[in-house]
Amino acid sequence: MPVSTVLSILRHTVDPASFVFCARLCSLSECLDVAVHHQVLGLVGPRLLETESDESNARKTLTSHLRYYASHALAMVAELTLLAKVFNSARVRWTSYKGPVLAKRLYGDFASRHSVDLDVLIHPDDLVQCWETLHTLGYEPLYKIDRRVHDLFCQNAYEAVWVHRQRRVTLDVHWAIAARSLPFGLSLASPELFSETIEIGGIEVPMLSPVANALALSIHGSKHGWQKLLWIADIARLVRNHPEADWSLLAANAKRVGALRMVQLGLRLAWGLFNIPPPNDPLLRTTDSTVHLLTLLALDPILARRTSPSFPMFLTCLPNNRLRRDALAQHFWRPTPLDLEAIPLPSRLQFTYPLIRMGRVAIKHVFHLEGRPWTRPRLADSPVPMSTDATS
Amino acid sequence: MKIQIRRDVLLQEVSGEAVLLSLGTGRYYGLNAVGTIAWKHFIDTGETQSACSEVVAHFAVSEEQAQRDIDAFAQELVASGLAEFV
Repeated sequence: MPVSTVLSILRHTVDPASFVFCARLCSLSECLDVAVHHQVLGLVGPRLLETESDESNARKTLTSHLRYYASHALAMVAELTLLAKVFNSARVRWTSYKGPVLAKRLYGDFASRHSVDLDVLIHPDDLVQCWETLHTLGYEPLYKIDRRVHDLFCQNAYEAVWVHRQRRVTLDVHWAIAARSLPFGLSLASPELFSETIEIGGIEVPMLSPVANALALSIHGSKHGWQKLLWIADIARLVRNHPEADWSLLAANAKRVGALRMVQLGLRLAWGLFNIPPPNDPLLRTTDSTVHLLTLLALDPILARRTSPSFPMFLTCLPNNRLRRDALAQHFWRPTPLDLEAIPLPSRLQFTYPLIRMGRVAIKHVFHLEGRPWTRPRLADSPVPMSTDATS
Repeated sequence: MKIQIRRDVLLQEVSGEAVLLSLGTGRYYGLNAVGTIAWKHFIDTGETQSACSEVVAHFAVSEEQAQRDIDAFAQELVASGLAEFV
């Protein structure tokens, strides 16, 4: 019931022409829980507040969340505009990625897509310049990568987390949207990821074009089993808002980089859940039985709030076994930032990393000798201080 | 009076009220419901006089008082560096 309620409101948010059916019997606190889980509270929260409910604690919690999202979103936008100025003057080629800028473009509201981190996509040739720039701004890397393994880190990883402790910002710096060993590990060096700009507070901030965003978001969603309604809502909204976009280019690009099934899956989910049909391109509308199966596999956990088998689903999205082998190799053999930070080997010994990686995976999964479950360290959220009330 | 909101001021609405951020100064401000309606009217029309009609339609207030308060609010926005009279 709460999933249906949240979905109903979300459908109306994605497409205002659709009818909202809100079950008044549904618990507000359960809806709140579902909305937070699916990262759509920013989108459905205002409507949830309008529904009749005598759950005063849940209403207070909801209001508090929305106020926090608003302040946090503005803080992230402020940080993004600062990064825009600094990156531009340091000639670092970059673009904003997901986050409040995408929220503004898709939903007209910075706070509609709440995320703890701020994401940016940097040209892979400008990484060193980017690191130096972030250092001067007061950022520190979350993983301390020894200089002996820095090149290997940049080759194997495609993102790094930097934190600014004073400003309480966690910055995810991506230099590709997936592992670069895979053809869809696209970067700003790839012709498929072209960007445009959006004006924020008088500052031009680059962002991916609608077609590039659809491709990147489809790859991202497929990597993670489409577990969040937000990711599907984003695809639906992109298609709805941009009928003028060159969607045949999306089809061609996706096919070229081995991501066509991922795009088809995202579009099919958007169609099924939000009634937004795919763009009128034969490749985007034609799906094989594998995509039908993947759609069902993705929908069931969403509606039943279970965890989807995201990695097997991701492998199934890939067009051939060669890519599946590469993806498996990336997952199980290539050293992660954690591996490189823990064991920084000189270059003459770096060939042993696959064995080290397999050993760590074996220890973790086969012998169940892992320690506490790993969770990525995050700065604690803190409400942004409110200063002057500008009304009397 | 004609008023222009500064481009580097961002607004985020929450349940009828709003948070403002001045990118230039890094300061945050809060607007109540009346302030939010007035602010949005200033952005759309740049007029303080017609903002009065809009708030009167939503709140139990006389036109005279609404106009006085809207004008004072506009002055406060300018004094805070969030807007300019043109």
